[in-house]
Amino acid sequence: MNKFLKQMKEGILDQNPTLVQLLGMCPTLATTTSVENAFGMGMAATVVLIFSNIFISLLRKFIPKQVRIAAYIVIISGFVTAVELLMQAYFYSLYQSLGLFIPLIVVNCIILARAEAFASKNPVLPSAVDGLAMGLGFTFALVILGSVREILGNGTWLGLRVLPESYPNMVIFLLPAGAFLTLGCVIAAVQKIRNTVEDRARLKEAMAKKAPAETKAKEDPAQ
Amino acid sequence: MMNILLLMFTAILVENFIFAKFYGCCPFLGVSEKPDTALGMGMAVTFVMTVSGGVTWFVYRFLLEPFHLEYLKTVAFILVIAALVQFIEMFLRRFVPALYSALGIYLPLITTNCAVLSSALLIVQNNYNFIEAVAFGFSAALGFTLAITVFAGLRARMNAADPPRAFKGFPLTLIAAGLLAMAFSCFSGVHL
Amino acid sequence: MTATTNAPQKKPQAAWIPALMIGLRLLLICAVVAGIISFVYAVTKPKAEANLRETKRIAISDIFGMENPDFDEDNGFYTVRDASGTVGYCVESTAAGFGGDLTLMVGYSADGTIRGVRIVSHSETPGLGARVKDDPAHLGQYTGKSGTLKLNKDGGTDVDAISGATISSRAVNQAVNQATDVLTKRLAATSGGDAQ
Repeated sequence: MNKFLKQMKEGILDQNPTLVQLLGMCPTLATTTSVENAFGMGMAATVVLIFSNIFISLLRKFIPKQVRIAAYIVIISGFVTAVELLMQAYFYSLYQSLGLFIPLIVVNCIILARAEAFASKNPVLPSAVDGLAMGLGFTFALVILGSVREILGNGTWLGLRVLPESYPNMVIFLLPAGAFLTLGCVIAAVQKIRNTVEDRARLKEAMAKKAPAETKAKEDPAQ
Repeated sequence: MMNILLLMFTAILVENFIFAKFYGCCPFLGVSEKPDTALGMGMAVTFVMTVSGGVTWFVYRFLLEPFHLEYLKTVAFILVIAALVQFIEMFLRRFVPALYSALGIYLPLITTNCAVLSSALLIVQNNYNFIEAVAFGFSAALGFTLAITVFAGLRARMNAADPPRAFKGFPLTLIAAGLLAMAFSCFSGVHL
Repeated sequence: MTATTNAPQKKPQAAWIPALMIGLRLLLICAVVAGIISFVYAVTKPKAEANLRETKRIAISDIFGMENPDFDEDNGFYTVRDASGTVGYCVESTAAGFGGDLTLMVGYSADGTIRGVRIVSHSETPGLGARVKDDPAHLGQYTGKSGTLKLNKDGGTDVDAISGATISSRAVNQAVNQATDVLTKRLAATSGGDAQ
């Protein structure tokens, strides 16, 4: 159980596919004009990721090594089409607003990367958890980006007004240029946090190294 | 004829794949460190997208549509593109070694370039005829090449800069891309 | 990562048997995937079609202010009736917006003036182009007008475009004009038919 929690933490925070591994940039930039779209995109990709990981893990001995990428792509595109059809039937308005980006989940590098790096080498259960963790990490990143862009660009969050009516909407955040700028700043913030954590760890290590030396030095003259 | 030229102008500048539509951002951000490699990637993409525009059009019109299998288009297109990339690679290696040594290393990356798949899907969505399909594939890829080469030139200069530590690397790249996107957005009102 | 698959593979002389096996396995995977998709398609198809019909029904009932409009469809052209007879027509029309296709339902009274315009589907940016749908005053401008309409941005006086959503406003205007053309042709054809 602990192992799964660790996997989840890896996927959502330490190894976040979007903010740390920098994969899957197209949907990240394109579908984050509103929180609703960002969440919908994240969830659709998560479903595909879980099922493709499960299937590829199940078939990992059956898939010939030489054509494995082609096999992965076929399996992934199959699930993407299934998700697209299901969204068309049950989440019609979301299906319309995400448009072409649903079929483009096929070429989202996160999914192929997890198939190649994890699902093809691990049993079914850990692969499913890996798909869930990475998918949620992706969704998490998209929702953060979507929140920033929707609040600053439209004054709303998930369609609810959060900034006063007098707030002049900064439309630039909804335009393509704003997508790049916002993502740049969010990743800079993540790097800042990681740098601080790293620096602290290094400082601690240095202190720990120094401390015994000091105590030794103190002991020395006593001898 | 005028029609085709307008379509091409729109695909290259007004609806630039990178700056207006976000198709193909992964290679755009990943393979734009040096102007030479960026141009190589752009040319390889142009080659594949022009051919795949025509081939997927045929697959859709003569295989999927007659049998009412339109819903299989994503699977069919990605398979066609993967096979096509493989085939082009073998063909170039065998018959045009000079071109192969220039483009070869970029070809495998193109299967997962979403610009190629999205141009195939857009061709179907917009109901283009064969000539329009090829012209659209070619000019959308030209727009991609333009974006990635201009951006690579920008990045080469950026390497000399000394940004705050948190902005080093990817964030700075993205912000530069944002500024370039702003420049390109001046085309977005153009209506032809 | 994909690079590894394309590395030249050393094959023994009689390589066609393993190659065939690889091909067969890949084919099997493709077949299973295609099977799964076909199954999902068959299951979801009625629901997806019902969704489409339902959005159209809502648009029509909204335009004509009727609870349960009675209409028949002929290739994107709808004739709307109530108990007393034909009350008007609706035309479905599509134009390219900023984020993709924008599909409208344009309702006409029996005399050919616009009774109302509703957006059936769109993929415009929320907060930008999507305002053509969210701002009821914009689509309301079309009500009561007839003939080919021109936006103020393009030198006309009929309809004001939403600033910051010019492309989407143009798409709406274009779709409405296309719909009016369809209606004019249809009415001409039917009245010609009556005369015979």
